[in-house]
Amino acid sequence: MVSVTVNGQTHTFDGDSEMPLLWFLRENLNLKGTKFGCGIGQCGACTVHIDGVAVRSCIVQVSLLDGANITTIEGLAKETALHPVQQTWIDEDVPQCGYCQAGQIMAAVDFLEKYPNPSDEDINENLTNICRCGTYYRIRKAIHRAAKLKRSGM
Amino acid sequence: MVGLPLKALANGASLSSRIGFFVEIRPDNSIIIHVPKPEIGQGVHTSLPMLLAEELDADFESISVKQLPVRLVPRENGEGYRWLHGSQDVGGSTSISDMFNFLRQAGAEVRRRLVLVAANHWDVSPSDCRTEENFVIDVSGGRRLSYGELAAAAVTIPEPDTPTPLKNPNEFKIIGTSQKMKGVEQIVRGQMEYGIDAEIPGMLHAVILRAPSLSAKLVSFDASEALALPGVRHVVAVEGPEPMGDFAFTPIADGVAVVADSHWLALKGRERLKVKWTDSPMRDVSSKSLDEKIQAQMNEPGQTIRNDGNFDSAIDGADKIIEREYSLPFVSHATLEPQGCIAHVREDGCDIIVSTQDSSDCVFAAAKWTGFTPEQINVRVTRSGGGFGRRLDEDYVPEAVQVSKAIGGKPVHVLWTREDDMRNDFYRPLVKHKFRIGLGSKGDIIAWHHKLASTGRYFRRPGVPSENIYIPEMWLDDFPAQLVENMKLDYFFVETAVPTGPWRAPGHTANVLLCKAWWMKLLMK
Repeated sequence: MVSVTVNGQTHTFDGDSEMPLLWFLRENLNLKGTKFGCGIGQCGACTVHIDGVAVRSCIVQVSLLDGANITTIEGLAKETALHPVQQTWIDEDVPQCGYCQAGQIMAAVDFLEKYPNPSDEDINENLTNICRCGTYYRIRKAIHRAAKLKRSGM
Repeated sequence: MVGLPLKALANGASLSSRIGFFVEIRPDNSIIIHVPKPEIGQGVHTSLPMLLAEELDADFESISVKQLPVRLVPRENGEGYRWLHGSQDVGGSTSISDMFNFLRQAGAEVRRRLVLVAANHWDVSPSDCRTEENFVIDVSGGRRLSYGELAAAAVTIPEPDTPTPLKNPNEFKIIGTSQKMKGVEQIVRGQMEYGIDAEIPGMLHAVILRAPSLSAKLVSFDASEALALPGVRHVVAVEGPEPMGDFAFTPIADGVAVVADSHWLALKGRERLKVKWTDSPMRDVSSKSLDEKIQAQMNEPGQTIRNDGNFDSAIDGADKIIEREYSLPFVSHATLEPQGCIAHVREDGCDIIVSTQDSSDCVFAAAKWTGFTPEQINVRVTRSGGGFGRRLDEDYVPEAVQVSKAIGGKPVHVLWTREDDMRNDFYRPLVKHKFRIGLGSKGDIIAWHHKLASTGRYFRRPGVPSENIYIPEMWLDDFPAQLVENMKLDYFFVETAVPTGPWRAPGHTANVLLCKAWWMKLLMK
């Protein structure tokens, strides 16, 4: 039996020890904002935060997460107030099909904690989530804009 | 003209009013546009409402969108089916050109009705009214009524005998502007529904173990270990029809479906299957054998599909001859949302929920595999996590329908893994290009010969004669046609059973890239 906190709510789990966090979130908790893309940790569509760090949830077993604090895309906004990264994703009109964007956003939020004033190179080297539509150009613009917004104290 | 009493405006004011197929106006003066075409990331849930909002003189900020249910109705002459409210398929980058005037007309008609209600109410002529951002304004009196106040009374106004006039394009305020994508806030909040997220109450989850090689058939399977897992409910066969039969260009693989309480459990069950397959009739086909076949074919004369001037004599007179050869492999679409389909085969009909580009063929495929008429099929299309041409094929529908039928008509969600998706695609055809180009004394191109061999995607398509297989592969007017005087295009069809299909910009993605790359190379010399 493990206990995990997801978006502030505590849940227990004693099911299949191999079950990835991704399917626990989607199927057990009905949190479907986190997407399945590859199942092998390559595409990043399933990125969530475990104790504040961006992790690909399709390759992390929930049975190993006792005591972990997990944030998904649904838990990123504070009530109605969007996170600066969500806001700039709207301002720069980033998504096309949108399927990868929850993962992109979760990865970018963690990245900006480590690189509050990133260069394009920093972004290219550290953010490896795949967008099949090719929105990378706008993702970079939105990250720079979010960095400014965060520095301005929002 | 009879003035409507004021209370007519207030009738039903607590409800929203649907005027025609596409427009729903709420009492708070916001508007919902029901968009006929599926959103796959190409932006039609924003661009198509712009067409309608333009003629409606709507405040685009006030508009939200919903997907219109798929509706096909029998043709009046009894031959087949037609769309009830415009085509609901998307492919070939044609949505805007298809619907440009159609949706403008729909918007203009709703505006006409709203103006008529307001004019009647004020007892003025409609020509004395103008519209602006969800309001009708009495030009001389300065009075204003919102669309929200007028909508309920506008619902029952009959259609006019002649089409409502459209704006002159120089009056456009929305068309031609850049607008933010509708639904973007739902996406960044993780609230947008894709096919993979949809549910039917009581729905089970399935994954399919498909034939490991092309066209191999299922011999037998042992499901005992899979069924021993708690939560695994059924293991059933899925039949892949003969590719030359009814599903000539939408083959599906033979397979074994594991049906469980959750997708994760179904995956675990699939690992425990023991299955016997026939040998693939294509076991001797490999990349190497295909390449050898192509080389041999290209040494023989091809099908000449364009022949301008006289290439042979022009190349003889060339100062310099350049020859190049390029090969491109089969390419999968790799939509980030893998394929999948929810099917519920009920006693008197069938419900489908699916991410697709091809709503109509989803209806027809479900009808075919259930034995129901198309009117008994209810297809709900969700937003798709990418399309790129992959979702023009509807192989996932017969799969899900077969599984739902086999488990006694329970609703089931068949979801593909990434590996399933990579191995079972309608790939962009494998191609080989050979260019032979003659330059004149000034370095100008005087002769251009382009030979293209491909595993043409029209192979096995019903009603397509073999001499027309070149049509989606090599476009007669592609660059640099008409720019080079002596130009010859030869096509070579390479037969293989590997399923092929359109891949992001029909017919052009491979050819134009190479022709333009060539052109640049020559310019830089």
